[in-house]
Amino acid sequence: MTLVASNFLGGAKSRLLPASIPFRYFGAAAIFHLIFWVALFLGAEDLPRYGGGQGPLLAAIHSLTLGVLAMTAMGAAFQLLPVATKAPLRAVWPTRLASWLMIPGVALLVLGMGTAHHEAQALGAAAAVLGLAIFAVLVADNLRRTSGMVLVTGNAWGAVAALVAVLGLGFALIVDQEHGLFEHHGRVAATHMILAVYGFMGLLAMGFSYILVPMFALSPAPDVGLGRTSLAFCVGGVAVAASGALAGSTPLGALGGALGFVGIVLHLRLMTEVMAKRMRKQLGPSFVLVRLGWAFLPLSALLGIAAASDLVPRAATFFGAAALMGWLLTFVMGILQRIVPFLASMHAAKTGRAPPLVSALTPEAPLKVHFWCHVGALASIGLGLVLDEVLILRLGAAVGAAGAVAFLAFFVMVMARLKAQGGGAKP
Amino acid sequence: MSDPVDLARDMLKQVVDPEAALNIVDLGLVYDIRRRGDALEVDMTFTTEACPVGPSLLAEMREVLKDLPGIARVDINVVFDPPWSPERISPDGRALLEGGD
Repeated sequence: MTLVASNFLGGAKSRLLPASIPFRYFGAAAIFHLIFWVALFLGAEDLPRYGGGQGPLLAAIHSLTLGVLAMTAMGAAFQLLPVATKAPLRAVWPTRLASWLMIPGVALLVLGMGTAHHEAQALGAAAAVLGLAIFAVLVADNLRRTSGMVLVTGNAWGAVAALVAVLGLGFALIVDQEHGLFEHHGRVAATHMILAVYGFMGLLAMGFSYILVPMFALSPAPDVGLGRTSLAFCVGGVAVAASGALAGSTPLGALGGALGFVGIVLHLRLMTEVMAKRMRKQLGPSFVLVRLGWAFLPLSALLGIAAASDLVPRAATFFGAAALMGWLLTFVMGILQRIVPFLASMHAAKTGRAPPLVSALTPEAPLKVHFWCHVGALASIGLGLVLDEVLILRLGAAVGAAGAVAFLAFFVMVMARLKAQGGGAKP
Repeated sequence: MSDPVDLARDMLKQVVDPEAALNIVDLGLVYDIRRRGDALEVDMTFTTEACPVGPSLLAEMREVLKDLPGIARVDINVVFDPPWSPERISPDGRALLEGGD
């Protein structure tokens, strides 16, 4: 008998990367997640009034942004973008090369920031910048070869553009510490932060949400027109806010925040509609994290406007905590709880058998521990910031670290179950 | 002898979406099955065009349909128009999904 899947299978297998590619990034993210909480514990006394500078807190911030968020973005984008765009990567080796540069590069950068060792920082930053530059080129090449999935590709183009600016500014900031390139180091750092958080990671997270959330929740696809409007406001908001930060202009910063806030509200309206129409009513703790992350997203934008306008004392600290921990970390950990076993199931299917159920690959106990620890850590950090109390901040970081250990255990258990299915990956 | 179309529909219930934990027929992914001479044509979709599980679902469908009696050829057409929507899930499928994760 002849069996033909006439219009879909072409190139489908080549769009599924070796399991070791996405899982090495997710494994690294799980380890940097633990390093983040430990570094935050060590640098907690600087957190309530942090205004930049070397030490454990700077190391914590970059463990989170580069180690957890960017690493997850790379693993997810390398695997999911070619599937979404139906355009396979031209070669697999650049994804490996990017990991060899990125993972040790971020480790060295974080170590250098934590110990104020300039050479380590510069070397680590150079490696991480090269790794992320390879990522940007691969994503851009993939997007260039597709015309479908407009919401995903539109957001991804915006993310790539922001990433290019983030990389240039980030490396320049490291050089500036020793050689004094900029008259206003703080302004450049604020621009770097806005572009990294809302431009690169934010747009990528929103873009992937348009396919991942309906897929996991069994919902209809979101409205494309409204999604485009949201994207336009978000891109405009990021561009104006970043320009305002660079120029030291309060009105521009506030205007950018306001534009971004409108884009965020539209995005959340789409996500709310998707969730309301879902057929899968019970989505577990992972989606509680996703929703918690969404709740922090508009709050972070409002705090950003307050920080840009000097309306609230210490607003910049609350803004950073809400954007990085409340929104992005919470959202990304919720998504990771889903996509790690999901991709494990896909890779187990490559061995020629029917894929195992995702639920069979998901160890629930460590996820529950991680969930409660994460929520407890957020609550403690928030309370510690409001009360300006280092002990509560340290308690929050310690609870977060316990959650990170649980998440690491979850990751190792999923890898063990994948290996038992015959689809083992070396993380 | 059973109608190959009905038989194929029953056999395709063995193919389970690993994320939804529901078979592709009750999930509403199989739009149409028709016989043309000794060939069987299946129109199907995925929950999203970007569905990463798609290739493995197709491979499984090929596996379960390979021994269909009286059929020499099976063509599987993946279509996205009309797009899948939750309304396509069967009552049995809805009951299973509402029962838990």
